[in-house]
Amino acid sequence: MKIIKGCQPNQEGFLLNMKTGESFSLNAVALDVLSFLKEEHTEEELFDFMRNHYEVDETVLRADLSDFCFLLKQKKIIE
Amino acid sequence: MEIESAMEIRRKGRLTVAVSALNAVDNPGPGVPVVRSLREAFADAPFKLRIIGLCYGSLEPGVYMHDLVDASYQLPYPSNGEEAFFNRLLYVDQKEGIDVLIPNLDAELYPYIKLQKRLADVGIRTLLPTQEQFEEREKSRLCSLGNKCGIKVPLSIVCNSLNEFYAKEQLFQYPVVVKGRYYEAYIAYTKLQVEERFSQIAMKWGVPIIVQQFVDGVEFNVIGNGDGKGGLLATVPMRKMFITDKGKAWAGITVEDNELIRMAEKFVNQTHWNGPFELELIKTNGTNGLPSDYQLIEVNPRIPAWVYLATAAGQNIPMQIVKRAFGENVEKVDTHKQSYTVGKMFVRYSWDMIVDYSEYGHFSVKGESQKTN
Repeated sequence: MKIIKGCQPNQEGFLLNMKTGESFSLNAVALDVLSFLKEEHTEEELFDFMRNHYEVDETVLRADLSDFCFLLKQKKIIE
Repeated sequence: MEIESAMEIRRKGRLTVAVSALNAVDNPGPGVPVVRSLREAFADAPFKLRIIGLCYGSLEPGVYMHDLVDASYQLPYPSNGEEAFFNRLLYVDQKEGIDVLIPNLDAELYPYIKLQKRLADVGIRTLLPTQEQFEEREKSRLCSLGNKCGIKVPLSIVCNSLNEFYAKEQLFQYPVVVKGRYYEAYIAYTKLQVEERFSQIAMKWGVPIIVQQFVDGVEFNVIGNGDGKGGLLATVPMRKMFITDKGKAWAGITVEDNELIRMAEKFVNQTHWNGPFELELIKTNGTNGLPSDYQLIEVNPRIPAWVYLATAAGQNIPMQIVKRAFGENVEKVDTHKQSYTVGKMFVRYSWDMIVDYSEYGHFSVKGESQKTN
């Protein structure tokens, strides 16, 4: 998975999809996810990255990441 | 500019451009942003740019914007008769020496197309689509235009009476959009609402009325400028970010979507459109298993009111119009390269100008005014 060109968030957590004009305000966790996905990574690598940075139940993390990545793909922010 | 014209401008030391649609209601005219674009384009020119406002009422704000407009003249509505309209333009030309005239209202384009040669004979340059091109993009012919250009268009029918709608009502699923030939469009959720809106628009603007299938989705507009030979001189796509209850963009952002640019290319390729235009499109939500796609809901045969966004993003279409009116070559836009700034936004606002009643009174009585300083 990787951020699609034209969908890079800025450091403040604002993301503008240059193709669709849709914009999003990201919280700190979402910004961490998308910063990590500036480079190509698998879903498992993203899971490991988040587990190492947050104290979180693994089952909850896996479910939340799955939902969030689905949303990012649906909004054509990652591919 | 071409040599003869450039010499003429140098001799006069002045370029005079007349611009219409200086109104700014909740469906604002493009005149003021056209003037802003021209002021920017010719700010450092070796001649003075003189802007003449052409108005249809004494409460058009452009009349009182003396930092933008040098003189204003009230015109009779073109529907009052071609000769009266032409004679008034002749009067303005005799006083001001109009070099280029940029009409910006749908309803005045047809009269200007008819008068184009007579205006050229007295030295007033215009850049207009042909009558055939103008009629081809009318709301009533949008389906066939869509087919010709390979762009999807929602089902539309043209009705001169409600009976014509009743005969085809079963083709539609509510809601539908009820549109006037030139202006106004309303969403109708029931047959009764169609009847109300039909009568309302017909009383104001006449028939035919267009009934179009409502398409749910996100609204995008594309501004463009055709060279009359199938080439595209400028194009900027914009997503509407804030929409008024009249459906007008009150904020918007330039986007990078090649599909929208291809549509502008298809439109000019197929129609050989000459001059500025605007495509209004909806990107459908892609629900019920259907893919998301663009559907063309309208083609405007003129500059839209958000033209200044295109100027700010790097494509000054009013300047191109003036140059082309003088016969100067304008390069085709390279649509394979990024030719405008993506992510540039406009946020529209209203501003209460304070005007002395005497100025309003003078314009109301005399039908003309000059900047006084």
